[in-house]
Amino acid sequence: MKYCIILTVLSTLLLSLTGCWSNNELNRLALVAAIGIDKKDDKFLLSVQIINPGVVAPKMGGGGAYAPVSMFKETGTTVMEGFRRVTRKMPRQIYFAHLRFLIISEEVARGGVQEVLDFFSREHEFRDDFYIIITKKNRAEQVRLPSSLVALSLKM
Amino acid sequence: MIPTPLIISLAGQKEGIPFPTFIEAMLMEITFALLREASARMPRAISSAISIVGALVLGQSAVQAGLVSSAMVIVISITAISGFILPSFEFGISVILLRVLLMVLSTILGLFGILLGCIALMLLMCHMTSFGIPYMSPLSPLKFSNLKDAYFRVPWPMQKKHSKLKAQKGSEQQGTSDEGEIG
Repeated sequence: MKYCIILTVLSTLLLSLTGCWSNNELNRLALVAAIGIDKKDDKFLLSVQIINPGVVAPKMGGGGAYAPVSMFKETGTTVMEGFRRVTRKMPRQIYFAHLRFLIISEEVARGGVQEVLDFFSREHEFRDDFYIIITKKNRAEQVRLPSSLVALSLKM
Repeated sequence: MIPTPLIISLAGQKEGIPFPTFIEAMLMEITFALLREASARMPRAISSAISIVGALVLGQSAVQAGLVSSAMVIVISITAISGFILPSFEFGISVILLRVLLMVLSTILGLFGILLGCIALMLLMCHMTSFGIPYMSPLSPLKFSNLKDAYFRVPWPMQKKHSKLKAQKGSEQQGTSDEGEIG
C-alpha cells in the first residue's frame, strides 16, 4: 500500500516534467503579424507589428477609431536583445506563433543573415511557417505592411 | 494550431471582456443551471417564456453588454445541448461536477490540465464497480463476446445470450425461457 502511494505520487510528479502547461488569456497576448529587421549604427533595429484584434475582427459597430496594427521599434546589438527591449515597451505578452512575415532589409542581408535566421530557427516561440522577405529599401522599418493588406494576408 | 483569422476573431471578442475565461464560463454555466432548474419546475406554459428570456436576454444582451464573449456563449450552449444527450437528467447533473473540476484544472494547467483530468476520469471510471459489475463493463475488462451490445446492436436473432457479467443463472434473454424472468 505504501509502495502504491509512493508510486502514484512519483508518477504524478513525473507528469509535471513535460513542460508544456499553463495557459494565457487571449486579451493578454499581442499577436505579431510581421517583424522588420534593419541596421542602425551597427545595431539591429527591430520593428514588431502587432495586430489590434478589436479593430481587425469582423464585428458589428466596434473599433474604427484605432489603426488595425501598431508598431513597436527597438534597437539591440543582437536580435534577442532587441526583442527583450520591445517587451519592455509592450503592455502585453508578445505571441509569435501567428507571425506571417519576417522582413529583412538589404543592409542586414548583405552583412549576413546567419545570425538573424539562427535566432528565428532556435527560439522556441517561433513557428517556421512564416515568409522571409528581403527588401531593397534600406530602411526596413518603413516596410510596414498596409493595414488592410495585413488583414488580407492573414487569410493566406 | 488555431487559424490566424480565427484567433484574431476570438481575440477581438475577448478584447472588452473584464473577466478571465474561467469566471466567464462559470457565469454562463450558473446562468444556464438556473434556467434549466427553473424550466424544470415551471408549468409548461411559462417555461417557454423562460427559454425566450434565456435565449434573448442572456444570450444576446450578455454579449452586447460585454459581460461574456460570443465564443463563450457558443461553447456553453454546445455544452448544454450535449448535456441533454445523456439518457438521464440526474446523471447529467452529476456530470456538471466533473465539468467544473475540468474547468478548474484547465484554468490552472491549461490544455495539459484537461488531458490530466481526462486521464484521471478514465482511470476512475475503469476502477469503479457498480453492484460488483465494472462500470465500463464490456470495455474495461475487455470481453469480445459482450461488445455486440456495447457500441452497436447486432441483429436480434443473434443475441440469444445475455452479456456475461458474472456468474448468472439464466444466461438466456428474457422471454425465451422461464428462468430468465425475475421471480
